[in-house]
Amino acid sequence: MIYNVRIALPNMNKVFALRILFFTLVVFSIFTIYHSKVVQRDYEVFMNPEGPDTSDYFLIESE
Amino acid sequence: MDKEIQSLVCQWDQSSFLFFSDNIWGDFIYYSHLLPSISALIVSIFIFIHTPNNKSSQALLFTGISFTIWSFMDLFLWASESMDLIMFVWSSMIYFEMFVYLGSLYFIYAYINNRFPDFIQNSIIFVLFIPLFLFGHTSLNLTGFDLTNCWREAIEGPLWQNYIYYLEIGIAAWIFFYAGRQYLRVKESKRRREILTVTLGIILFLFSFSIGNIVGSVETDWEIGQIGLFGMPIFLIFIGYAIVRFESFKLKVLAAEALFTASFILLFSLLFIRTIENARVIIIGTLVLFTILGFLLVRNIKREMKQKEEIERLAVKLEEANIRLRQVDKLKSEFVSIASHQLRSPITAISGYASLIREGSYGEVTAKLKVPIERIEQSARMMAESIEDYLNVSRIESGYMKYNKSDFNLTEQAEHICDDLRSEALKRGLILLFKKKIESQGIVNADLGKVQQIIHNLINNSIKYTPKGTITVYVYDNKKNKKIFIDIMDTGIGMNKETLQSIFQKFERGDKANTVNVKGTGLGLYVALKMAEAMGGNITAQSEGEGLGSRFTVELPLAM
Repeated sequence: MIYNVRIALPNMNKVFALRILFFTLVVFSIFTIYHSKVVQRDYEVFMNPEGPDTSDYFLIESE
Repeated sequence: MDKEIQSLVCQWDQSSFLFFSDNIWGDFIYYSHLLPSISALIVSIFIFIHTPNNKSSQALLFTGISFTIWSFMDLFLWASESMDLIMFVWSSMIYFEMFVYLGSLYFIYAYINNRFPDFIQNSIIFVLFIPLFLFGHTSLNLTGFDLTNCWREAIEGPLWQNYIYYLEIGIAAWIFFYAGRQYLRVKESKRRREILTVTLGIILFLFSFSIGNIVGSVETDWEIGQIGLFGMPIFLIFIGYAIVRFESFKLKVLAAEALFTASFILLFSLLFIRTIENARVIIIGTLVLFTILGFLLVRNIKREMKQKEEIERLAVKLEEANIRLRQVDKLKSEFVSIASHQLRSPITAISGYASLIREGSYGEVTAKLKVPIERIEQSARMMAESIEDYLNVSRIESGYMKYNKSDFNLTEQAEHICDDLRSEALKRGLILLFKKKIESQGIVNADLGKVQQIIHNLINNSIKYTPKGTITVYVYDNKKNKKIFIDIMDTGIGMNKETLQSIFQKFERGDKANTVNVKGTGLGLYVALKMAEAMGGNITAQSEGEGLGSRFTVELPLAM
């Protein structure tokens, strides 16, 4: 019985560990976003009446 | 210019309770967010509460919660006047949008095969998320805040504009091809229709959700984008249909319940329409939905009424059959009882007279006559035993078997019976051993005569079915459980698994019974078990296989 448990655990653990790592990274990433946007206010404000140049991004039609 | 000053210059309204402000100018915004998200939450929680261990209901709950969080974050973007928070929430939404797709992927895996994606598939998903972890907080996610003409909008970078939208299309395609392959594998037409319904629902939902977001992003007209959210109620209608029609998630929800829930959510959500002109459009949509659901409900009720009538008709028939069966059973028991009694008297006479003749009460018996007289006597005894078995079965089945309970020492009784039968065993060249290991006093409260009969019958059976070897009677107890056991072990012909399962049934005899020339009715073990059960005990049989002997265990409750 104990032998079987030992065999079965690693497979369960792999997926479980991956999920834990995944959600840890998500939480960390959201925290980093908060720090960057709210604490440090690290973003640009565009005030150009023509609008920002976003022609690089293919989904936006260039003027 | 400082960001607060800009906010003041633009004269944005300050939001109250995060989601309410005059910044929301779209007429459908609350309706389009609250109806899908609240209905998703209600349905997914309802399904999860009823089937918490079902993997597809877990995945549906994850999808429902992610979708609700996404919707409320989006509503916040409409209402908020804080540039910092808009940038934070808009950047973080990337995860919840992906969770809706991931949840859908997990849901379809679990719904079809009751399993989640394996380690390799999970690893692929993990790798696809790495760019989000690395660049989520950078300008690749949101390039900046567009304050031109006081618009309160973030400018989406390549992570949103390119990567995420392609990823969404990729996951939708993954779902489509996986479900398609599984659909083709399934042979049963009902299950096929079920898979088709749910897959179609989820594909329509993801399609409208993607299109809504992509159109909103490309056209930067986020009000048009809100239409995509209505994919969720459509998906829920498909799920509801699957539950009512196919009893998905093993849930038995009637169409009436589904219609009531849907109508409640729809009517409740009408409260969030801002102008009365728009109510007309919503009511038309609601009316169409009501018509479809109402039609399904009426059809469902008709079908259920038909089924109910059919069940009632069958119940009446079954009751009649049951009464007839009881009458026949009573007649049978009466017949067996009368016939057995009628037979018993002449048999006793035959046996008695044969015995008297053999003993010389009617004059000298020649050696030539002795053998047939003995045969008559033996046959009469066997017949009397058979009749007694039939009578016992008749008494047990009619509930007339009487048990005169008293306290007695079971170990002593078992030992006496062994002593009585030892000579019989020796005649056949068998050794009959008696062993005991008793911690209690070994007293039971039971019918002495019937317990003797049970032990006698079991040892006798072992003698009959053991051509050579030993029979061991072992008495032991378990003080903790207040039980006493008698094991009757032999080295006889044994039994296979099939025989073991049916040995206690009426008219059942061991497969090899005839090979050792044993005659019997096949009622002995049945009668013994029923008697033991009536006295709060049990009898079990064990055998390693044919030719490997048998072990019968009698179990009775200890009185002290």
